[in-house]
Amino acid sequence: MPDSLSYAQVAAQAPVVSLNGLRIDFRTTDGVEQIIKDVTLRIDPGEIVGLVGESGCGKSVTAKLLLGILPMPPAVVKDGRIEMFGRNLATLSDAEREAMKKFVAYVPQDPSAVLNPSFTIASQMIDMIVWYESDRRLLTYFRKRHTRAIVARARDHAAHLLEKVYIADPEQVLRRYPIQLSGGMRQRVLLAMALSGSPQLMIADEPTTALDVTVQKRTIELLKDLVEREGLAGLYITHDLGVARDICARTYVMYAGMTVEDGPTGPLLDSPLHPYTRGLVEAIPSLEGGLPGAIPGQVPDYLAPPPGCRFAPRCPGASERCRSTPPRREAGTRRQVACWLYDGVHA
Amino acid sequence: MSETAFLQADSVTKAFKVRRKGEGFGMQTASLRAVDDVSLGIRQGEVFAIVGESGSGKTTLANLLARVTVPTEGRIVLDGDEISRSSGVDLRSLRRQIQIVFQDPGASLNPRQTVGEIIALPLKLAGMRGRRDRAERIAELLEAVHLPADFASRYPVSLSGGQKQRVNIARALALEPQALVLDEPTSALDVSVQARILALLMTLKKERALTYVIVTHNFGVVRAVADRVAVMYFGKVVEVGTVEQLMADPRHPYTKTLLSAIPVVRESERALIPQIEARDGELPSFIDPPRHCSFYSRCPARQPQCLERDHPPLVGLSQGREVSCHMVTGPA
Repeated sequence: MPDSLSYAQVAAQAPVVSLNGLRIDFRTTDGVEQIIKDVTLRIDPGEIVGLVGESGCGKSVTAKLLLGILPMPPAVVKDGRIEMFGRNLATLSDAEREAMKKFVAYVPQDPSAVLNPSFTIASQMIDMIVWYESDRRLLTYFRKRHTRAIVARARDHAAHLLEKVYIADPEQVLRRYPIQLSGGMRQRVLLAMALSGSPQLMIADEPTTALDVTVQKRTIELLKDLVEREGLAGLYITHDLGVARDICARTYVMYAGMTVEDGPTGPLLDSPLHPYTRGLVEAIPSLEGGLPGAIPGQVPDYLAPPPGCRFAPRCPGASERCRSTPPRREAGTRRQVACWLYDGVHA
Repeated sequence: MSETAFLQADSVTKAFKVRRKGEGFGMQTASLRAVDDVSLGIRQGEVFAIVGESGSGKTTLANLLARVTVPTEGRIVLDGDEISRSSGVDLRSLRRQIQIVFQDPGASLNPRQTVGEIIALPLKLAGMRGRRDRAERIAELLEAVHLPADFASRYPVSLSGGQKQRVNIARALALEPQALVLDEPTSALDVSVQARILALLMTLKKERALTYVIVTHNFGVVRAVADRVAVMYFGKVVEVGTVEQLMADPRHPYTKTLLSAIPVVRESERALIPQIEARDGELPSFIDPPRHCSFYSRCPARQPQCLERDHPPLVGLSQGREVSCHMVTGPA
């Protein structure tokens, strides 16, 4: 078992996550689905990076890969380099990869689907804390979960974690069942639970879509504050570009398994470069009025995706060269775009 | 309330019976007022939006307006006729006037029926007997919602979210209604699909001179399609006005809170929403609602006297605006 210190030290200098030219196929009964074609993504320590795109474009597959819960098979990594905390995943043993899970926290989309309705918040939080304390080993876990002193200490720790997410009366919340809490409160509990390991990286998969706007705003503020205080890095997955603007310093736009554009979120949304990003921004009804513009066509069939740029069949600026894969180019300050329109010209 | 209201809610209340633990053994029934004394007038040909957060009663109100449920108190009047308690033959002929499109495009289509069968049902119920007539009508309707004619033989499971919503709209239009109630028509869809459904709805409205009631929590959608808006909180309408009025000059503190929480996509939009500090607070209990203003617990502009007075009535201001707030309308 590698010790945690070395990871923490490495993480301070190297990117927390670095995906380069990632390609993942899924073997299904219908044939090989080429879900991820080219994902390049980097998360530096202390920054929250956004991953936006429509449903079915591979956002969750990317998240599952980083969480180490992507089922392989059916998924097969065909190409590319995956580095986490400065280590190349391909060179690690299964045990080392398992140990790494401790440093990755996860905040899921729907808090009511994740919390077990039959157990109190205390019981579920203690489960998590003891599980991490047992180095994720089942037998150790069972022994510890039934040792009174360990459970009492875990309960104190749970109360402490709830305080970190500004829950005023943790003891009160610990005694409750999930149904007795509001949606915003449940999401806070999950944020607290995400801290029960010793996370370096927090992956949040649309954690605010089930919430009302007013609660959403509060949760976003809390998440930002928490990531900063705990010195984490974050990957925030969303289809809501407004939410991405509020929370993510940098954002990657994903389409059909390709990261097509990335850059600081504000400039990216105010002057999008890639035709897909432009279409996506224009499709959102503006508060200034007028009907939003629509992107024609639909997401490609992953069994037989178009060659080259996968957005080409829907792209207003497509030409012959789009039949080969466009290179990723620098385009302005800290911005990159994978589109032939920006090849060789300085935007 | 204007004289020309086409669809009108007149002091409508919908109360649900709930059971809760009583004293000692056994259960006690209590009444939960999901929609509480709401009056609204919707004009012919307009797009009227109802906004509010979950639990505000907007879907219950939509169901009442479309006569899906029956109000506990009050009346719903459509084109001069009371519809709130119509049943049997009356209800069947009412379906030629008003239809509803439900929230979840997948859940509102029977997975064991083909698209053709789904759209044919209202036609059959309305007495269209000829199979060939129906097939012709189904083809027309599919074309109207921009779906290929061969979709009639497909099952909902093989359709995408946007296509399912088009089938729902086609079914709602089958009997040529004058008004459609749309409950969160695009909230389950991706933005690019949402944009297309909104465009379709606006085309249909123009072609068929429809009146829409749209329930939504998305202000962008409201801005794009609606003429007037009612903001709901805790079962009551707290503000009514045109979209322009509401966006440019929101009067009720809840409207301001709601607008200020919108995550804007473009920097240019930030100037269009109020910047206020929201107040955290719990929603009051639906079973023992407070006598004072129900927004008090979360109101950023609350004053001590708000606690002493009853819930503020919805008071008409100039230019057809209505607001329910003591601080805006002043002492009665």
